[in-house]
Amino acid sequence: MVRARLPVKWPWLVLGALLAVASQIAWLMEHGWAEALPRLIAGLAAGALLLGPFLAWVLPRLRRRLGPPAARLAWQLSGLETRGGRKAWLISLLALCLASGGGMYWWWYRPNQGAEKIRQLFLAHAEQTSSGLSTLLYQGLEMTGPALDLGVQRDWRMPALEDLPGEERRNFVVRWLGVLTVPADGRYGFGGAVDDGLIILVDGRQAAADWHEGPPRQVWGALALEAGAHALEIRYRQFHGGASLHLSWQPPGLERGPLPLERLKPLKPDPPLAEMTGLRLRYGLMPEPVPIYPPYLGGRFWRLPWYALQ
Amino acid sequence: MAIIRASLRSWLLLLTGLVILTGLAWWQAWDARRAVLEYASAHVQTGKRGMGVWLYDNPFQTGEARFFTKPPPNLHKDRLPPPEPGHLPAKQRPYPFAWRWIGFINAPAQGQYLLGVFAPEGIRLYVDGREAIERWEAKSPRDEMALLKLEPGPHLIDLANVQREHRLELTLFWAPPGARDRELIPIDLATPLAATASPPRLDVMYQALLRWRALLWLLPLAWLGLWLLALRNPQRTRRLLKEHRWFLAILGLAALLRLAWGATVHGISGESAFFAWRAELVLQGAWPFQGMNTRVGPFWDYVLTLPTVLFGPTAWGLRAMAAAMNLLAMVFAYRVLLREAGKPTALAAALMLAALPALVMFSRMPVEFMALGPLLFFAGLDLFSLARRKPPLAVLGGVLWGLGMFNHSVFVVFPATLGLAALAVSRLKVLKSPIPWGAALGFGLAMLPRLWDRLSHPEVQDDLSFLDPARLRELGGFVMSYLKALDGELVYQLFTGQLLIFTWWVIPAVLAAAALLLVWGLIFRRDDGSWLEAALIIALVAYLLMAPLGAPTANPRYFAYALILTALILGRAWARSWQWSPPAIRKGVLAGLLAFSCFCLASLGVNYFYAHLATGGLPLAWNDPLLDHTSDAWMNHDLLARELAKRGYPVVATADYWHHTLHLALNLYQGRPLKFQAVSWASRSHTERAAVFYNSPEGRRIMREFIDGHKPKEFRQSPLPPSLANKYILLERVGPEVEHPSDLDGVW
Repeated sequence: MVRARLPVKWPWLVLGALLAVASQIAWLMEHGWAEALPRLIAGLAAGALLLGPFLAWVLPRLRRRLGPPAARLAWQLSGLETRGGRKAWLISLLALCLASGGGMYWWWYRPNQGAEKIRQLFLAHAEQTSSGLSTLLYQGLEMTGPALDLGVQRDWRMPALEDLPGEERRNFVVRWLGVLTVPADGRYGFGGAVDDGLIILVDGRQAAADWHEGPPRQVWGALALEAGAHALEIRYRQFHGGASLHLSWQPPGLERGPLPLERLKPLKPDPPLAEMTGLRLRYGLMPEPVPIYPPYLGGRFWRLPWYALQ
Repeated sequence: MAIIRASLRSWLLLLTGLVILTGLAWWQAWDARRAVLEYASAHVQTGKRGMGVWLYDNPFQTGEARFFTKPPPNLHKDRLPPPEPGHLPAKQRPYPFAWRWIGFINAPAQGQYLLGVFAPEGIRLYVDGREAIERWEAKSPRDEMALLKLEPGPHLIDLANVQREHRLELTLFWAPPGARDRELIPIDLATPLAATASPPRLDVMYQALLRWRALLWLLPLAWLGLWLLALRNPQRTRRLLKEHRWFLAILGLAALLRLAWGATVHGISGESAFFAWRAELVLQGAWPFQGMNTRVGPFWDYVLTLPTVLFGPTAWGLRAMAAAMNLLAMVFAYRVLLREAGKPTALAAALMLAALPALVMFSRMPVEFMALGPLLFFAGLDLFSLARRKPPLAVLGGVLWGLGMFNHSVFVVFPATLGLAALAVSRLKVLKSPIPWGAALGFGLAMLPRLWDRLSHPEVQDDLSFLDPARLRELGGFVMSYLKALDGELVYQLFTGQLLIFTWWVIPAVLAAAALLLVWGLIFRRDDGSWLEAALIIALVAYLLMAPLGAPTANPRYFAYALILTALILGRAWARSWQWSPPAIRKGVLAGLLAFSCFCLASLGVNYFYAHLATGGLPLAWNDPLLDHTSDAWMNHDLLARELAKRGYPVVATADYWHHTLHLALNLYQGRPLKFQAVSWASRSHTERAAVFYNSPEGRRIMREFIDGHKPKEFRQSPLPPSLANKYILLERVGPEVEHPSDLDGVW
């Protein structure tokens, strides 16, 4: 039996085909997938029959011609051939390690440390014998005390009209605080439908946030959590007009559903709210304030002063 | 293995200097803080409770303020819908305003305090003269908080804030140690300042405190740098100073010209003021690329933070930094020419770089490519030269050139022309050296941030492309502008409308002779050094040909690198003529060089003094269509600033064109504290009492747009003194009046 030998080795054909298919996928992602099948087939064939052999011819030649000079050039430019150059590399790597370590401390370790402290603070003040969330009402948008303690709530209802400033459903903030126990490690979603503003904090970290004034809308976010107890804080803000809040969560692998009461523990009366805020500030857990009227995002001209150039 | 070798005496000198300077800065900072508290204590309203409030009728804290004493703020007013057209209900404020709340707050205990403000727009909170919150930005109401360690006793609280039209929202809160929640500051703990206190005076004192806090680490660093460069080995330093004394003399001449001459001509580029303003933003915490015109990189802004943090934004600070960059550029130019071409070329070229009128003239424009650009260029060349023995330095040189390109797209042509010249002169053999490859690698690395920025924000790309092949028709005009710029003739022409015919051709003629000499040398006296003149001539010709493609107009500053190349060609030609001359006439050649240098200095003097004598220092309006008619480097912004301050407008709108920002230049000329705030004409704060426009076709077009955007007969033209009338048009507001906010009644 005569075995046919390909003029080009098969890895080159595969490489050519893959590159051609990749270019077609990039085109389809930009222009839509209506012509996907013929394009992909044509790409596969063209890549294998044309591009692959071309690469098989040109790349080894380039390597023979340019390889040694490129290697020599890289060696010269790296500076490793001199003692001073090697010292410079060592110092640079050391500086890089220090900078990376500093960065990791500042953006990862420090916030994690803060989250853990907040979690411990909430656990130390948790009411073990009941379920629900402690509820505080601020009469005004600025969340400055003293807050009215509405006790432990077990459903998400608006404060009673007589508790609100001027007995009107406007310009108030509600804060729900407690401890949430999650059953397993994983990514948990939090959020819901809200009018006007909603912030959900887990261990002091922002899980979901949309604090601006607006019509009813969905607000959603997710955080990776370990199994066990976590500090939970939900803030709701009402400006004027419609007022509504429907909270949900989504454990890993499950559908969205209401927050289960049995997993929530309130805090004891008079929790140390200022200390909680202080911890978030100190450990970098406080995100940038978001505007509540347009333009909602700071955009690229975020730090410009009042009535700036653009 | 010692990292730094030095004698014990040198180490002691270093340590002594560090201790003394650190101690000095620390003591001055302490004293500045004490001065703030002393001033505030001298103006306190004893026996009263609350905070002093200075209420301005504009968002910029300029002009007369009304004074009140009020409890610590907890003010809210619902946001009201905008009024119907033609109907303005009572107590609806149609414009924003600013206020300052200043007083002493008595901290009851030692510990960590949470201090915060809930307010919109700009928020600045100073505690005992130090900034606790610095968020001067346009944003809706939000919490801004700070944690501070305070001792028991009184502490000065200074809160500055802006409020938008139709809305009112300001709360100052705190959480002392042990507090359960954040709370309003009790009025019993607050003591107001009196109306005799001056918030602008306090701002000046805060700047002094900030200055010494910055010097606390800047002075020791500067001492360390001085020690490493010069004091570590005094004998070596003395030897070097003696060996290069002529260069130092030339450097001194350059310093004198750049600082003294630069200050004698009116005007500073609005573009330069743009960088000074951005330096302020950087100090307030702006990120490198935010607010950045994608055309311009952030590096000059960062360089300018140094004088800004020390002295505040000032015109002379800008000029001093530009002069410093220019002088450093000359040092690197000297180094590289000394190494590559010998001492005669290095000295002659340094003298030309110092004295060529065009370079002196444009060094007074502290924009990035006139100041930082030449420094990066020559530092890069120095590194390429050193890379002959240490190839990795070529990468660093490429990075510096990439940073230069980052700063201005005009730089695009520059590496291209030098690269072309190197390829042509070496007949592609330069590609065998690792230097161009290292340079290209470094260049690419330096461009990566800008590339990333452009790719990630495609929606805010400016129309960067000046490339317009049609402008090649104007090549003759471009070359003429370049020739006229060489001896600073443009200054004279600006003032008198004419060229000083009998002198302006001299420097171009000398340049032509120099080029001919070098070409003759290339043909008949070729040696190992001939590559330098070949490269310089090819680069200059290529640059002049490419300039119309890349520059939007024939504004002479776009010829910055052509002028540098010209100086190098002149220097090289003088050195070669000295080298090729018989010894008997070398003194004559040297005398010729000195005479030419004197002619350059005289040309500067003629262009300034004679022009001023003839015209009283008042430049004419632009008439040349090739020149950028709104290039405000030659305007009378300082005179205009003085005139506007004299008239007492708190807020002035100004015409702006692109980044030639007149309002920033006017604010820069005033120094701090501002007597009036100049704002962009498009800002429409509605608190402007006047508006200024260029007296040019572009300026008049913007003025018509401005007038159309206001009510009929809201502004009328007001006469300006003759020294300003040919350049500017002034409009004054005649109505409606801008009042202090009256909708606070009943709220506070």
